[in-house]
Parts: sequence; structure tokens; C-alpha cells
Amino acid sequence: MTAPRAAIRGLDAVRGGYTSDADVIVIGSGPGGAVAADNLAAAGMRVALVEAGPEVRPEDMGQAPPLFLARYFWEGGMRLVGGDAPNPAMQGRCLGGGSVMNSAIMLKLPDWVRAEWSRDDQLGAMFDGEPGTALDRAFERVFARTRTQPTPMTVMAARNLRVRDAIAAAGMHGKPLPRAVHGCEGCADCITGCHSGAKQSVDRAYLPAVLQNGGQVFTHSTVDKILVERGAAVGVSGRVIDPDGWQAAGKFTIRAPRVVVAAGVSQTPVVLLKSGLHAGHRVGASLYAHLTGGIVGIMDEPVDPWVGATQGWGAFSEAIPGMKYESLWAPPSLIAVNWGGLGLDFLRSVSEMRNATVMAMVYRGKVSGSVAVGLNGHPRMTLRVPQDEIKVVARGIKTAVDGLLASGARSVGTTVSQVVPERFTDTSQTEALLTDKLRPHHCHMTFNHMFGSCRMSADPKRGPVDVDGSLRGVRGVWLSDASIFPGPSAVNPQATIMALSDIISRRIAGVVA
Amino acid sequence: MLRHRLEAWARETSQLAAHLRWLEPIALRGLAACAETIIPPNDLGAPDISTTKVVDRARHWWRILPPESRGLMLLLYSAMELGGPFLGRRFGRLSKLPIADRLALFQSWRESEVPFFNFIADGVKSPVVMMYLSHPDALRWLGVTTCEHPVKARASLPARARLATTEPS
Repeated sequence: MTAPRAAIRGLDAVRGGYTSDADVIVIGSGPGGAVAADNLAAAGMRVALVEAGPEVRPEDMGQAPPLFLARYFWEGGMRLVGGDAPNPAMQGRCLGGGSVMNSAIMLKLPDWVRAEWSRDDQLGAMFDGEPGTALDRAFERVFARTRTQPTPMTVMAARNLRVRDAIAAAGMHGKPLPRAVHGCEGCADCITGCHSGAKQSVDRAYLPAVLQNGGQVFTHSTVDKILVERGAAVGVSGRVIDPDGWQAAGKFTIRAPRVVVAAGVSQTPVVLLKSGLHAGHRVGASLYAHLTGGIVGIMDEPVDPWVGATQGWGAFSEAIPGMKYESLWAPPSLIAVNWGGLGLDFLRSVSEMRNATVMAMVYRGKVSGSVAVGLNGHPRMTLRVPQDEIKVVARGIKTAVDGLLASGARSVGTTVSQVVPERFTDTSQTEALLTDKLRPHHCHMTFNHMFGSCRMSADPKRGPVDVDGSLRGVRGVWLSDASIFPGPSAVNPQATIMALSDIISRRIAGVVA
Repeated sequence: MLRHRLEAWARETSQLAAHLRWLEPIALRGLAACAETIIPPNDLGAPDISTTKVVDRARHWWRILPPESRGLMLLLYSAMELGGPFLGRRFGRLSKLPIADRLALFQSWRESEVPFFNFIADGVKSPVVMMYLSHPDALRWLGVTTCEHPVKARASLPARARLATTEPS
């Protein structure tokens, strides 16, 4: 008789608690954790993949965003980053992690960032390991697995094309963004899960193989602690959390001599710090983020922005290093949160949504901060935004506003408030964005790309993680998510997370990267 | 040891929301007062907050939020109802103020040079907008069209579903 294949152990299976053992435990099932689990299971290791959140129910995908946030994001989507510009940092908490709710953009780490990381933190050994260039090979494997392709013109629709025009009008060279999708129908609902099943989020692209190779996948299981004996990891312990009431529904312990932590930039340092693993107080001592702002152009004709690939077109600025522009869409209830005004002004503003096209500006600024464990056990994150960088952000927003106006928008709104007009109708007005009065809290930026809470560096003084992904000060613990980035990636981080995780996990498994 | 005790205490208080149920009626009155200010009766054809059931749906949403976020919502809107006017040097409950006065109060927070007030203004507005614009009537008013939903989704997750439920032949 053939043994049944492993199934995802959901709430019914883990309620009441459990114990297990494995060769390696992977904490977190997002892009970093899923790739690691896949490689380790494929190499014949007994893998236990532990995810704090639930599996996303298909019927919840593309549905009411507040409920989706409440069920599938840390702290119901209200996790905050404090500092100069307090803002929510939306962090996925479900099987597949952030890959379930991002736009599936897959961009390679730019050469200039790669050179910087190699120079400052000696990551060359990891990137260029034998044979050939390890990082390039990892990107190839990841792109193949996720069926990454440039967004086809057939699903661009008007919103992406208006952004294409604006980018061209601003003097930049744009192109279709590569995305991990197969058969995208342009529903623009990536952020609440892709209900058509086209997005190759890691729960679709990787986890079935983990199960097929005998891996165990546990959901609803929040790791509280990595267990360490005589300087080496021996397992993890934690609680089963029932989201219906959010009460602990049992405890679990899994024993294994290897632990790969891929819980995300905010959660990974929390797990380590709660376990007493601070690597010379360098865990959580750093934090970086892209500064992201939204620019909304109102066209004369209907755009129907809810149609077309969520983020199909983009460009890098040559004038401002580290500045990137993308088309964007999200459900109206999320995208309109910062739309202008209150009362009738707000209603008039959103009544034009059908004619709207939206650009996102993503900037690799010199933003830095830290992560600590808050008294409630959640991460307490702080980011400082230097005033000089706000001036660069303002220039970046001005470029986008000018581009949209030049390409036919009759008015353009931004997320900058108070010191500049809520809407621009002519390029002669946009100089106002360069005012010296602009401060971080005027900009209403979001921090959806965060990095580096446990930096990877050859120099122990610069980061707690060595260049093979191992945590210093303890044996048998590796990290494989964006927390190990030595700095901001300048592009959407998913592909780089997956590629680094691919290298780290293959080396743990003894497979040539 | 002290830290562990503090953490344990804080974890307990993060479950505060469960013990703050008595605040819910006050918070809901505060939410309703905020909602009818942000989404006022209008002649633009936009549905109002009762048609879109903003308050009832927010109550349901709060109940499925994690405790700390639920507590945050209850505290925010209770504070608005009981203390919002005071922040604008007015007295009485927010829900008793005329809508025009509430609007002026929120507007002053949005325009304040003190980040705390900006944060409060955004914090009050965001949940209302989320609730309002996720209602089908509001989406219809905007003209939103969406792809056909989930039957396809079930068909599109066969690999995982099969792995979870079947044995190999």
C-alpha cells in the first residue's frame, strides 16, 4: 500500500498542538521560505515548513479588501512603522506570504546594487561562487520556475498604457515589467490574491513540490522561540493560533538540527531576539526601506483602471539614481485611502476614479532605522527619513506629475499634502513640489519594500549574518528573506529574496548553487 | 525576568479588546459620526453610509481583526467620540456636533503642522474609506467592473488541492 502524500496541515490538523521532528525547519512560507523548503526537500531532507498564517481561501481572493487584510496580513494590515513618517507596512501572514498579495514583479538585482553589496559587504563569494555566477544561475532557476515573462501587451489595458505615455513624456525609457504570472487575464486584483490562479505565487509555484517530496507544511503556527542547546539549534517551539478569536489553540514543538528563518523583515528579528539570538546586538539594529508614493492622473476619457495587469509598465529614472516608476492598481477601497479631501471634496475626487491612471514612485533613499520587540511581542519598527532624501522624493514626484500632465492628464493628485496643492493642472504649477517646507510627514509614503533588519556581511561588525546566510553566534541557524539584504535592492525584492534563498538553501543541502 | 513579566503583561493587555467590548457602542457612535462627515449625504449620486452599511460592516470587520488591531480601532473611535471635540477646543461628543463643525475639525487636523494630528486624521479616514468603497453599491457608483470571480479559482488551484486531498494512484 502506498503511503498517502503529505497534505497541508491546516487548523483542524494542528489544533490542540503537536510535536514533530525533521532534518530542517523552515520558518515562514513566503518567497524566501518556500524556495528554501523546496530545495531542501528536493535534496532528500525531511523538511518542516511552519507558517504563522492560514492558507488563503479561494473565496476570499479578490473580495472585500478590509476582510482580506484582517485575515491574511500581520496585525490585520495595521502593522506600523514609526519614525519621521509613520505609516502602515503591510506584511503578509498566510501560506505563500507576500507573494500572494504582491503584483508579482520579478526584477533582477541591478548590477550597481550588486557591485555595492560586493564591495561593502564582500558578498562576491556568494554571488560568484563556483561554477559560474551563482546569483545569475539562481535568478534563471527562479524565473523559470515562476514562469516570469514581460507583461504582454494584451493585458496592459488603458491604465498601463497611459503610464507608458507619461513615462515617455517624462523622457524615460519604459518597458513591460516582468511578472511571475501565467495566463494573466488582467483582473488587477493581485493585491487581494489572484483569483484566476494566474499569479505564480510561491504557494502555487513551490509548495506543491515541497509536499510531493515529503515535506510537512504546518499553518496557523507562530514560532515563539528557536530552541538552542550547547550553542546549536535543536528545534523550534510556538503556539497554534486560531484566527477565529485569535486565541492560542495549542502549543507545538518541532525538533531539528537546522533552522532556516524566513519570517520576513519585521518578523525574523523578532523570532531571533525572543530566542536570545542577537549576534552581538546586531539583529534588528538596522532597517531600510524604499520610499513609495502614488501619483494619480485624471484623464479626459474613461480609463477603467480596474482593468489590466496590476503593474504592467515601468521605468528606471536616469536622472535620479535609484528612482523607479511603475503603473499601479489596487482595489478602490485601498487605493483611495489617501485620495484628496474629506466630505464632498473626497466624493468628487473618487467620482473621477473611472478616468484615473495611477503611477507609483519607488525610491531607494538613504532611509534607515531599526526593529525591536515591542512589549506586545510584535515588532516595533522605526525609520528615519533624511530631509535631503525628501527633496529627491519631491523631484521624483514632480517628474511623474509633469509626465502625466504632458501626456494628457487634465489634473494630477499626489500623496503629498499640506504644503503643495492637492491637484496640479499645469506643469507651471509643479515647481511648488520643490518647496523647502516639505517634510517627511507631508509625503504620506508607504513602506511596502523593507530590508536589512539582519544584514548579511563578511564583517561581523556590519551585520549578524555571514555571507553563507548563517547567523553568527549559533550553529545551525540560517536566514533567507529580505532581512539579510545589506541595503535596499532598488527593485521589487521578491526575485532577489528567492535567488538568495535558492543559493543559501542549495548550499545547506550540499547542492552546488 | 522583569522584561518577561512586562511582555506577559503586554500580551495580556493586547487581548484588551476582548475586555473592551463595553467600549464598542461608543466606538461605533464615533465611527458613525466620522463616516457621515467623510461620506456626507450628497447629490453626486454616491450612496450614503447607511446604504453601504459602513457601521455594521465595520463592526463585523473589527470582530475578525487581531485583538491588538481591534483594540486600536475601539480606542481610536471611542477617543474620537468622547475627546475629539476637545482636541478642537470644543466640548461635547463628536456625534452631537453638526457635520460642518466635524468637517472643520478633521480638516484642521489634516492641515496641522503637528504630525500627530495628521496621523489621527488619516487614521480616522482610512477605515471609513475602506469600508465604504468595498461595498457593491459604492463600486457600482464608481463604475467598477471586475473579472468573474471564484468558480475559476477553484479550478485554478488543482495542483495544491489535489496534493492536499488525494493519494497517488
